[in-house]
Amino acid sequence: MRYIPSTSEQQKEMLKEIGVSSFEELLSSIPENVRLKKKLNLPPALPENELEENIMHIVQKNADFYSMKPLIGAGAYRHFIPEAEKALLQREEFWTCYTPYQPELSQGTLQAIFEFQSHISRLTKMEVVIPSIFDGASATAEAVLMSIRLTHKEKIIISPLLHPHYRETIKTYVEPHNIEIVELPLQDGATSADMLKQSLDNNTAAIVVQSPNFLGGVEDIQEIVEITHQNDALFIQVIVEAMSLGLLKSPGNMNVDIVAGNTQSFGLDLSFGGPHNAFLATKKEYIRQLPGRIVGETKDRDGKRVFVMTLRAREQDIRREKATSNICTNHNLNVMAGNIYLSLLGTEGLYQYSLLNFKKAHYLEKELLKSGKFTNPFPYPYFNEFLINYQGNIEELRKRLIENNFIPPLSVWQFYPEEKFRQSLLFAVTEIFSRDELNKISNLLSQ
Amino acid sequence: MSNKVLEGLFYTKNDEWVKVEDDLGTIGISDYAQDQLGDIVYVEEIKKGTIVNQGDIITTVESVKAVAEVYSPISGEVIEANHTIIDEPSHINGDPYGKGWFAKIKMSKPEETKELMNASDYGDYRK
Repeated sequence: MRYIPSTSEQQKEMLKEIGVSSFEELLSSIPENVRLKKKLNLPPALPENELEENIMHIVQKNADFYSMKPLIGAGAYRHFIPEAEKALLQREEFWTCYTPYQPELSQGTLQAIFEFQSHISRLTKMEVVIPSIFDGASATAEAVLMSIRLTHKEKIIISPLLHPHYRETIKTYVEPHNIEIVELPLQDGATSADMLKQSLDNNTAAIVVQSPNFLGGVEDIQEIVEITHQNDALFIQVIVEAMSLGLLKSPGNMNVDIVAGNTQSFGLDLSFGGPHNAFLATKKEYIRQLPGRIVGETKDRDGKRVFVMTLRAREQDIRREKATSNICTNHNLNVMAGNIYLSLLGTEGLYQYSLLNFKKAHYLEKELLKSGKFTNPFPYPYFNEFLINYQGNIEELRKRLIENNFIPPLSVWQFYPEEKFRQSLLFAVTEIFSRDELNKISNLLSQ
Repeated sequence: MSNKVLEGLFYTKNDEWVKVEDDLGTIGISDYAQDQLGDIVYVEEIKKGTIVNQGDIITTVESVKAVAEVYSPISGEVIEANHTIIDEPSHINGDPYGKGWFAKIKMSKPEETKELMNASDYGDYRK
């Protein structure tokens, strides 16, 4: 089977057309010493049927999150996705990652984006929302850049309980900006207000806190917001597990300035790590510093309700190098998934799901502690993820779980290499686990 | 095209103006600038106490079709900003040399006005 679709006749024709005699001559501008002179070390080409079988063998080596239920979360969570969402997402009209600049052609897409913005605005109680940045980490970094533009200050303070990958992404984004990043020291399951007070000064643009945090802990946002505002800095709340919005107090009710939220939990499969979707939400006064598109509602010349992209002057085709928005493609299909998911669940549905997450996680923790094989490293309020110390051999525990078709919890030691975390495991428990399964897990781990 | 020029003011090539009274400079954008921009819908707030150098971006003006940076024609400290243009940006279109002023700056280098154009030079520049 050939993988290059042009025949040698066609190749000759093309070379003749552009006026070179051979393929070698076409490459003459590439220096000799950087050219690969030998063939790539690849097996010979396979016929299509054999190739397909080959790939299926590789695919079958993968476990999926249905045959193996994950007890790991740490940034990506398996939740139940209604069949109706999957069916509706098959509508090919929704299949675009491009910007619907022409409202006369894109009313359906624009309305769906507007609806998603409205859902997120109600959940977060924030005034304005942009619906789609690729993932929570890049949304968080965009929020940090926003805070620098808004305050013209040069220091960012980061909670040690912000997801480690998010922390890395912030550093990558702000590197060219000559910004000082201060990471607070880790104490226990919550960001330390005292440590924060010591680091805050009048050159601080923003403080970035994830809640629920990397250990699942619910932060005392209100207290930290107050301290932040006393220093004329902005408070950025990061939400990685969006399901928590169904149960916890909304950021808008706690005077948070900017929210960066991953919406993977709203109707997106895990798919081996992506794609996700994330939103940014803020106060109306900061709207012009938002990156990304915003869809607004207006009336057409006949007075009918229509939707358009708005505040376009922020974007790169108009503002060029001064743009606050340089985002072209986005995860529109995942916005659509989130919109359908939230519409199907409704307010009460989302609340019930959130509550199930909370209760099931707390049930498993209680059962594990009862066994005597586990201890609590430090108590803190949490949503659906909790840290627990195992007395036995971690490798054996992992093996036992995998043998019984559960993906083991995260060993946080790899992210917090302190001796006290050697035996610490981060469990995530969502609504997908039945009580029987949770009992089975605690029995397995109590042996 | 509208291109009204007011006598007694100094002008920049970027179409800002400054009116000097003692060591105080009141700044704004010219009639030509507002006309080129079209209907202005937003002006970024200028903060009192800001120290600017001649040529620094002092604020941003957004119209229905464009966004423009406004550069300070003089160096000094902002001692007063016009808040009515924040609520009513249309003053800049309607009365660019009057109600549409941007800020009052206590000038630290009054000699800088020598580098600016007078009304008749600016009138020729934007003819």
